[in-house]
Amino acid sequence: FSKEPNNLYNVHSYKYSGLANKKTVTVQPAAEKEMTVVLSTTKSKKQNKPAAFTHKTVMRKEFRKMAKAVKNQVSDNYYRPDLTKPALARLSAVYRSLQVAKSGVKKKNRQ
Amino acid sequence: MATTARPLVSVKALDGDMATDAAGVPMPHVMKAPIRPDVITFVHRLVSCNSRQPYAVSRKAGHQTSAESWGTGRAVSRIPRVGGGGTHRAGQGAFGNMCRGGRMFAPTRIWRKWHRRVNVRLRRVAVASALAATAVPAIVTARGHRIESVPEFPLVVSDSAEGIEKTAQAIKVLKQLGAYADAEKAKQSVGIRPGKGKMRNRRYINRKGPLIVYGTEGSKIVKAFRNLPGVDVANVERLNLLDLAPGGHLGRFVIWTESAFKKLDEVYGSFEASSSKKKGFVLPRPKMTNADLGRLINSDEVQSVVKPINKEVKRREARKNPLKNAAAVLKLNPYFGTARRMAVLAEAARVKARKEKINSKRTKLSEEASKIKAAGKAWYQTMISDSDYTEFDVFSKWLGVSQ
Repeated sequence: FSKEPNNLYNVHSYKYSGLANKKTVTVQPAAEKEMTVVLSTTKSKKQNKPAAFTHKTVMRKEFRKMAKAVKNQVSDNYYRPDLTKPALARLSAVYRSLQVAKSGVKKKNRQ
Repeated sequence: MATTARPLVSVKALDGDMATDAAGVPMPHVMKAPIRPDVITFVHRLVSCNSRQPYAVSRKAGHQTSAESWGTGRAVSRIPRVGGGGTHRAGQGAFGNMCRGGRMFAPTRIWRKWHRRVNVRLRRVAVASALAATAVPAIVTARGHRIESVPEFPLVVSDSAEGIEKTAQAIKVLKQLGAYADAEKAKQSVGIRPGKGKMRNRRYINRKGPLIVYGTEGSKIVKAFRNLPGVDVANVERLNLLDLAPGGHLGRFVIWTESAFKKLDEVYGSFEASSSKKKGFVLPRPKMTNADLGRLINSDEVQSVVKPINKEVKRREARKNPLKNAAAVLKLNPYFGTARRMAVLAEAARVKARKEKINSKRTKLSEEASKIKAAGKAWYQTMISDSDYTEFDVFSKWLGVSQ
């Protein structure tokens, strides 16, 4: 299982699994506006209510502030401190992809 | 085995239902049955055999000739050849699996064993297990159903759903329940099957959507939902493993009506009480009553006897070569220090003694004589560094001296 949305590394493993763990973290690009990122964590008490299962925060700030928000939620809250680095890494990757989407893929000048 | 506290499952009211203060239905015991993917794959595989239709080659195929071998001596191979003349067929090989128009090797027969028997108890255990799996959202998501907007798991709907007659209404209900995403996924997945099945009356395939389970016999609900692609309908009393775990994969998305959900206890019984509908059937017991490793490890019973965490990391000391490193030799041979010291002292003494011996043997110059010698040496120095000539470049080169 490497493609579920709550998997931070998109890797098939117990630690990063989005299905097998009660508490998961995920960072995804948000649907509507550009440059927005959704930080989503799962609530451990609502395991059997899929509609109310996740806690989503839409963030549209500069990168440093978003990184701080992610870190606060994941590690300083003792939510899943073992996922801090992967969450931040994913945030960087998502942010970078959003920037590329905004400014277009780099054209390589080959003459 | 202690009866686990059974959580209450709330019943989702549909639009137009009269508001009730119903607390909810307690979870039937089947939902707590052990989830056994191994049993399910086994039973699913065997049970899938049971709707097969036999296929075979015609009994006469390849034998409708009166061919005979020509024997040896005719410069042809010895397979039976078709007799007669006046046609292409004459003289061609016949009967063998290698011959064109001959019978195949091991012609398929209809008396092949197409169906498999499975123990009744195994079949029931598999269904119980599959039902338990439908109550776990993670498993159902893993199977691929889109259940993000479903309000609660397991999803139980009030009995007014059993009165639905029109498919349009059925769709509306699915939308209210947050289950339409799954049904829509199934609808959009309709496609043409790859492979020869296309031309064997199995042209279209689609994904599976939700399974609607109803309780009362003869409900109109069947007709309402049956035209929706991917959506299946079933009566509680006749639940099929092939519907609950399609493809042998656990976790079909199931929508229960209230009466169906309540009937489950009757049909499957509990861990102690046997079921009323299935004679002598008691739900299988799990191997571990508490399989939550995290809770077990962190429990008081375990933590109280566990050794404390050892956070200091003991690393290996790097090996030093005694042939090169004095400290390493000292570790091995404590005498090395004193031996070394004594050797050094002895060497110094020896050197000193030797020097003195040589000195004593040298003829000593008288004071006057040594003075003369020193003067001579000084004069030589002046000779080789005569300053008059160093003004001229040429001479300084010739003298080879820098003043």
